[in-house]
Amino acid sequence: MANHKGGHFGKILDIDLTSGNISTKEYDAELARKFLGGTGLATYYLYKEVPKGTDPMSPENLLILSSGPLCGTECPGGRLSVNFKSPVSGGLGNSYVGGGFTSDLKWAGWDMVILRGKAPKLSYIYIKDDQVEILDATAMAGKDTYETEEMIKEEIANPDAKCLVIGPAGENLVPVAAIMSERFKAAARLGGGAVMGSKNIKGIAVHGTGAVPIAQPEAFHKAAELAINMSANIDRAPGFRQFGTALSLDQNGWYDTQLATRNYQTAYYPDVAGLGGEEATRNFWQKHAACPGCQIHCMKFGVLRGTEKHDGLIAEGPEYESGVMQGSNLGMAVLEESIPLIELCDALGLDNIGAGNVVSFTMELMERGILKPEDIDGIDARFGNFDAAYQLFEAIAYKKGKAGALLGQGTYAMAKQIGGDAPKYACVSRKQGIAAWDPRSARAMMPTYALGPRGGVHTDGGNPKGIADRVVGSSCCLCYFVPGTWADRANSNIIDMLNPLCGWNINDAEFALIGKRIITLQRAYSHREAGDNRASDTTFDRAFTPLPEGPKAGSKWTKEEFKKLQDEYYAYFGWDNNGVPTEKCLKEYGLDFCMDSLKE
Amino acid sequence: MKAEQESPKSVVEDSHKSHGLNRRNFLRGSIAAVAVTVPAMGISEIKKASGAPAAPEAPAPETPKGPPAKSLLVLRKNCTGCNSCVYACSLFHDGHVRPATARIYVRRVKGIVDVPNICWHCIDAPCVEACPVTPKKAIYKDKETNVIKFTDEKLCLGAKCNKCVDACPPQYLRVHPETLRPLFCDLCGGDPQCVKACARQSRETGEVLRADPRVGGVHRSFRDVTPDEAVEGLIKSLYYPNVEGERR
Repeated sequence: MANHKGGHFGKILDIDLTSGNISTKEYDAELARKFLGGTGLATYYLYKEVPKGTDPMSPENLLILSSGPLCGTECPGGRLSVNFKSPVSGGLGNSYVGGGFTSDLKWAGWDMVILRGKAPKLSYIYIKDDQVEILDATAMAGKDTYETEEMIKEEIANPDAKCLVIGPAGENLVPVAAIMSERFKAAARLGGGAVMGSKNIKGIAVHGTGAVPIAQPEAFHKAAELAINMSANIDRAPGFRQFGTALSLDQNGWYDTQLATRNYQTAYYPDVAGLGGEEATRNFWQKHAACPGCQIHCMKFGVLRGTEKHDGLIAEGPEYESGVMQGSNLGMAVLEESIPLIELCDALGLDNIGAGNVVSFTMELMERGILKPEDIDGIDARFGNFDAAYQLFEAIAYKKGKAGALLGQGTYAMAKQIGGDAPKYACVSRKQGIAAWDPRSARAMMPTYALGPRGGVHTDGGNPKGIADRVVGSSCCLCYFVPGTWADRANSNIIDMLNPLCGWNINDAEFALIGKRIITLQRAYSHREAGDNRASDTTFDRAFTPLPEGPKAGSKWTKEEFKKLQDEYYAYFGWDNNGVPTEKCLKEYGLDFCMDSLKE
Repeated sequence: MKAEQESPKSVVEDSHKSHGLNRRNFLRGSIAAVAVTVPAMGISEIKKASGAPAAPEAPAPETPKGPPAKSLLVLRKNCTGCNSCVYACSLFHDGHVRPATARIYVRRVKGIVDVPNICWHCIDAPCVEACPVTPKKAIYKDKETNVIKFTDEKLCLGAKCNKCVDACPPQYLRVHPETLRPLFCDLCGGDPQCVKACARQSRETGEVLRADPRVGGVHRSFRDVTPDEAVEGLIKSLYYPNVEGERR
């Protein structure tokens, strides 16, 4: 079967945790060309191997760690795609994490790792090239993500290993739990941490010493050289390399008016001056940091100095999402308050966005008198109350007391439980708490929140074509910042690298087809599992009310605009009026195995 | 020309002439030497400390061909851990990206500091000294290029010995995962690829790697820094008052 010319090994590491049985699964080059890798190929296996209606927290669910063809080469910006059935949305669960895990997985000779079943006791997995071990992690129970990673590296005596770990939040099966890597990086959204916790896996370490095969080395290196030079060109990422995503904090809170503030009540927040990139440059950041192979170094590490609390706290951030979800959206106005919350989420293994969303929701309910302090263990959760926010994040991760039980189920389920007016203030799209951009002014965020393959996430693309292109990049496991620096050569750079790498001859048309195919496959999966259709492709009520203040005051979505967006989106992929893939388009995309998803 | 007289003695007179070192290059070299003796210092402080004319912030536009590099220098504090040097190194030597066989490597420690490890091309070469193979040592220092070379790779005992690896003061030497023989930096024949790859993306952070055309312009005090010591120094200088780098 191994007819791969390059880019793919055609090898999947299949670990049955229940029996401890470790096997190798092979797939052929035809499948690789159809789904590329990353989330595309992983969704294929998810669709095929997880029976319809599986409980996301049951051993039958799969946790698929998937790398892409361009990872492990000099192509900049590799990421790992984590795929599972989501305990948050009930549909496709899929999130990405940067760092070295993905390329080390390739260098170890694997395209993908499938975890199935449930380990009898808390364990971690060590992959050293083709040696795979399942090891005892009971000593790491309850440890935070940083400690866990250090303990794993010490136990396997390999400081070069790259780790994925979960913190207390994942162990306690909180649906807003993230999978963390290298202390500060997260595959956060849609509850991957909880799925990993449900499998009794505390961590996975990988170290590879091989290389990725290349079909036509000369042509590939030439194309990659061009891509690297474009990424390294400062004019293509102005300010971005200097400030990272925190650049957007200052822009969005002030003249762009896109910064989610106080649970999305407004998007105008001049106080962001105390949270943004400029403030962090002067008073917090110490060092730029990059993922392996990347020219952008968007991460910044810093230390709090001379503060009353948390003096000497080292953290990564603020980046845009965490700076909002642990900053303006909770009413924080200084780094001294937002940074400890960001670091706390990372250490406890919480999804910064999901957990931040549920805490800001709680704060608004409290302010509106819908929730009383006694409902959440006497915590006076008001906007700007740092101590209350800190306690709430801890309560969520440890499922502590009444607050933990209520907030620990995520924004959507919590609003449902409280009932009454509460769901009106819950800012969720497709059951998941939305991210840090207010879609009323950040118009391009609406498609990704409401219609994208996952729902509620901010990274799936701003229009139908953008969403299809993005998923191709994601299936090659490229960080989407990198094609961003390639501007109008974003797609052609990917094609120019993929072809000589894998020995293919993909053209623009096939590139577009692959995008449509993968999005349709993901839709078919979510439709089969969670019944995704036009009626469920919704967004939160507040998006249809006008922005109250700032340069873009009055901006809002209307029902007609939203309907038009849906129509365009469904038409682009050839789905029916109800937002469900048709038999015709499934055939056209070569997804005949998805026909069963159309049956009720 | 006091600066010239005070410069390290190890600068070989001949190399000046043979590679056409002008005074400007020479001064830049001495700045670099200061820079590396105090790896934790920022670039601006170094300029002040050395009192020499400021080197341009951005990497100089590509000069046609400078004198061949005879050693490397590193400013660890500016490293972002992007591994571009590692990728460039293995690309040049093996034709594909394979960090396990690269002659330079970067390790991120505790998730917060990046420690590049390079061969310092020291003049006394403890690795050669440690080689037990007789009558002819398996490795030697090439006088022309200032790199360590195999006399004959078959002479090297590999995993059975690895005395050179143990002898390397900054614990730089690693072994090839298959041959189990040490990997020596060959400076890419005088034009180090790692330096070029680094310069391409270190504009915001300040220079990290530099090629030096002099032989042995490096003092023991910084060559002898082990990775663990480097980590300790970096955490202290970057994250004071949290000198352990642990969670708080």
